[in-house]
Amino acid sequence: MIRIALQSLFFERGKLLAAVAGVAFAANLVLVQAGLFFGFQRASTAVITRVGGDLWVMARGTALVDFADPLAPGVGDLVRAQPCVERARAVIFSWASIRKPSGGIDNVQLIAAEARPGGALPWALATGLPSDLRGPMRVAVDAADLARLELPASAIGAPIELQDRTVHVGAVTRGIRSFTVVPYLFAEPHEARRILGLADGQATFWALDLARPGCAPAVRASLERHPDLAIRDRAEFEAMTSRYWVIGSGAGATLAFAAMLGFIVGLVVVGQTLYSLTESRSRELATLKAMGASGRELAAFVLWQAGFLALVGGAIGLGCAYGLKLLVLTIGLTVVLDGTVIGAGLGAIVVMCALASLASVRRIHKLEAAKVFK
Amino acid sequence: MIFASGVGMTYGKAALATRVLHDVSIAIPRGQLALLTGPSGSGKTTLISILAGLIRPTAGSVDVCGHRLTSLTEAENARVRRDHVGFVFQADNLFPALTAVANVAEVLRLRGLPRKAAGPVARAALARVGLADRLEHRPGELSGGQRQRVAVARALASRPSLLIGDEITSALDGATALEIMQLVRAFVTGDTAAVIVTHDHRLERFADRIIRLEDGRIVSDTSQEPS
Ligand SMILES: Nc1ncnc2c1ncn2[C@@H]1O[C@H](COP(=O)(O)OP(=O)(O)OP(=O)(O)O)[C@@H](O)[C@H]1O
Ligand SMILES: [Mg+2]
Repeated sequence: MIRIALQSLFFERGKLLAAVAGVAFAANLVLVQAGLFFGFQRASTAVITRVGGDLWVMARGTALVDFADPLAPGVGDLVRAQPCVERARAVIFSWASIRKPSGGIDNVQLIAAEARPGGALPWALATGLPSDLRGPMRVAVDAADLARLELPASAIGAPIELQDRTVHVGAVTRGIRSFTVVPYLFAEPHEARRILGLADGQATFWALDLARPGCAPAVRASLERHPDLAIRDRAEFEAMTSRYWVIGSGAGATLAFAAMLGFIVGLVVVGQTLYSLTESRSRELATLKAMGASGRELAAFVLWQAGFLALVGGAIGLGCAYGLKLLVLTIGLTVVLDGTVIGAGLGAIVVMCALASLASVRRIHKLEAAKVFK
Repeated sequence: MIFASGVGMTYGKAALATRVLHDVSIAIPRGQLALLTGPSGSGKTTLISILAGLIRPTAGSVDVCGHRLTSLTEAENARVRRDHVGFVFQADNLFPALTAVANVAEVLRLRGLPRKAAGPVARAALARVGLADRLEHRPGELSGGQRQRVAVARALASRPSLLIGDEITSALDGATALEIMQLVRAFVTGDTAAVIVTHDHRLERFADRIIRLEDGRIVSDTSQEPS
């Protein structure tokens, strides 16, 4: 039956092309939208992920990394005194305002953290070295934000009016952009405190590295007795942050809507094609039924075609998605095409093709062998 | 081969019921080529559909090759058709995308032949109907008579015991019709039988027996020596 199915499909070149295009379109849209969704999630939580740690300590009521009050100066000592806390690392994550050379003002986010080994901030430098930020009042700016902040293309050493102080560009990062596209400026913790007017040892968050992950609940319970503190699992805090931005902004819904649109368009195109192929071969299929073919054998006519379309259309869609991924990277958007996204996206395409074949399979089951004599 | 007893068929229900066959009983032994004739609407197609197990009569019983079709399930009926019955229709009903040999071979596959065996058997069947040089042609590249030969080859390749045909020559010109009928005649030997519906009197000389149906009743049933 595979031969009858595929040769019949190939025999009608126009229908074949339409259906392959439909599946490829749907696969591409589903993959790219899902990839953008995860890209947005990653962008919104990139700093948390990079800083790492098992638990994050924050001011009570904090809902996401971008909006948090600084903690009191004593909190660092408090958390370090907990049993099982191997290290407590300060994280400074604060809004700051910039006055641009033209006189206009803009908001930026100033970020600094005591790095874990191999987790230095910022993580992708276009120009300069991490050590270039150690000088006094040095910050790193992303290459993509230079124009917006009215900085020259070779920005190293250029002055920036940040929080009414003059700082200088010590390094330029590449592709480190927030979900909101508000510029991220990176500094050493010591410099960040000076710029923001924080006391020594003060921080917005404390990232805790535990001696054993198993003691997280105990540490959490103990610190949460403090009326001003909230403790979150790092993954939990990432999820809260990305939910706030990606879902809360409506971006998630927009992406899901576009993906669904692709799914529906693909479903209709493939469903139409399979049905018209079945309909135009119904006499021959009824003949096979008269000759004793079972309903299941006949349904294979549709299922092989659907499977072929899913495979070829899915592969083309995946190829296009890779192309688009590279294309949108040039405008600073990340499309994540990892195993999960590809698996889920192509899974959706298989489901789509299966749904698209339902009507045809039902048509085949209703074929009456006796009709071949008419 | 076929043993039908008291077969009645009524289409529709209650006020819309139309009685199409009345108490038809026939026995067709092995080795017989029977022609079924009669005016349009007399129930010929209905009768052979019942004999082939494609539809279930509303009365009576049908036995084919030792199977009582009227007491088998749909699936069991399909099994009997698959193992014992070949079909030829007015139209060739070939898959236009498949070559002649693939059209024959795929039906052999559905009838349980392994892929390796199906090809050679299909080629031999096509050679027997005189199409050895048209194996790789698609239906669109064959004449009407050649297509019908492919249909005959497809029906006979699996060596069924019984061939059922309905108006198998009515789309063909006279000479071609006779050629097709010769193929059917050659198929019927001591072990096999065929029931062919036709309006064409010129085909009668091939038959061992001519059964005439009118208004759902057998009105004449004559045996003869084919010439
Ligand atoms: N599925 C059906 N439902 C209702 N009535 C039917 C059905 N099939 C056939 N009939 C009726 O049964 C009668 C016999 O039909 P049948 O097709 O068996 O005749 P036939 O002898 O083959 O005629 P023809 O020579 O024109 O092919 C006709 O009156 C027809 O209208
Ligand atoms: Mg008829």
